[in-house]
Amino acid sequence: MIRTLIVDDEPLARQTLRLLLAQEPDVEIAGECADGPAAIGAVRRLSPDLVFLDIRMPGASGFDVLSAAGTHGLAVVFVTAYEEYAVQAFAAEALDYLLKPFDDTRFRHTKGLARNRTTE
Amino acid sequence: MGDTSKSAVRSRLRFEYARTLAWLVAPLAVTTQIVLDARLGDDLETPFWGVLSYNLPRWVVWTPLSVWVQWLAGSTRSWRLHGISALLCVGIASAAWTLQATRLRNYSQVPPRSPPHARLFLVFVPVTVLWTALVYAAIMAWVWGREARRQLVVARLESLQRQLQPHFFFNTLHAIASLVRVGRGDDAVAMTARLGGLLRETLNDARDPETSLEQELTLLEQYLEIQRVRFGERLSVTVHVPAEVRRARVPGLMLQPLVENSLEHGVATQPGGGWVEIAARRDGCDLVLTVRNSGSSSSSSPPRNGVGLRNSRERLRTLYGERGTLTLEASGEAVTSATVRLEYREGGA
Repeated sequence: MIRTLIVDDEPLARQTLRLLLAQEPDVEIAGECADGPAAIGAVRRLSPDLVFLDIRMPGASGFDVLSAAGTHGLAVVFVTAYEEYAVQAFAAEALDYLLKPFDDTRFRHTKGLARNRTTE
Repeated sequence: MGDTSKSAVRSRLRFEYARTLAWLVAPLAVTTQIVLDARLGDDLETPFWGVLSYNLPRWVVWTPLSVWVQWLAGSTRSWRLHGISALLCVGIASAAWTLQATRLRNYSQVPPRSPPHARLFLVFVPVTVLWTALVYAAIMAWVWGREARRQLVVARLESLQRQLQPHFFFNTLHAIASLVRVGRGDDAVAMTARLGGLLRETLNDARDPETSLEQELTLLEQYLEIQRVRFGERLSVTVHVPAEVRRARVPGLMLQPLVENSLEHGVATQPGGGWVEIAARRDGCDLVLTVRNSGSSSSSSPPRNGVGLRNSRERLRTLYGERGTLTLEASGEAVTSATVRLEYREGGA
């Protein structure tokens, strides 16, 4: 099972990810967070395999979350409406960079990447 | 080479052809005029080719000189360099004219007079000064016209950016897709209509620069409805606008960027959410609009004086002169407020 954490400050965006991931038999949702500090705590406590991470959030940015909680063995997918953070994201060894809005095909591609990474 | 640079090279070539042609056609026109005038005066002796061969080099010398002046105009704003360059133009043109006049004297039908080179040179100077002025005027008109067009384009782009942030569109589209995915089709339709309303207003070039406060608040409500869906319970907005000021004239889309600023830097950065308060009141001859939000602007976000605020200030100054102001304040208890003050006027649509 791929233990997955969802981090986004918009309730609707979290609900969408939950819904899209529920169709995957090998994905287990370990938790959800709506802001930076909560995400730092959740990554440390739950040590998930995969995190869907918003960048602009209350309290701390997605990059702050990674530097505070560490990324050891963690596959990170950034999900954001801002395209200007892509270079920084891949410098932080992101698995993927999902630009909002995305369609189902694009999301399946992300899930494929995550599956390859976590079963290595 | 990309299509853009290819077309840039093509228009540059067209410009150079036109320049060369202009300096060739002008002596032809002048020569024809001289010969026709002579024929009308019963002088059948003045030879067309003789006059043309005398005139043509005088004009053609300006082709390289105008290329030089144009290059200089595009690369420096130093008046001293332009002064030196203008003197050089006068010198080179006068020298060219002097050489040509002495060389062609023998072919002329006019009885030869032989003034010394130095005197000929001095005779030509006033004329070449006028020519230099003409070349400079034409090229500067071209350079400044191009610069003015460029600034106009930049101003229009900035004004679009001020009105709605691009990521607002992307986030809203994502929210609409999310509503569809979770089965809230009716909400998705409503949100699409609101986004359409905002877009129409933003992209409407023919818009009156002013609108009524009532209309501005209606548009703002569409924007806020979208943001309420996105932020959920974290966003609390109150509007205090008494009925008696709702007929007041305000610049269109003035409140929306201020509210957007409040949401981005106040509400969106606070884990527990936050509040925005929009108020309007009359103060003597002025209308005062305030947008207050919880959270200080300095917390984890850049200072709020970017392109958006500069644009708002410029619009206020254009419409109301010294009476249109926009001020930002951060008060001690983590509250930020933006205050717009402008001349109170009623009426119109």
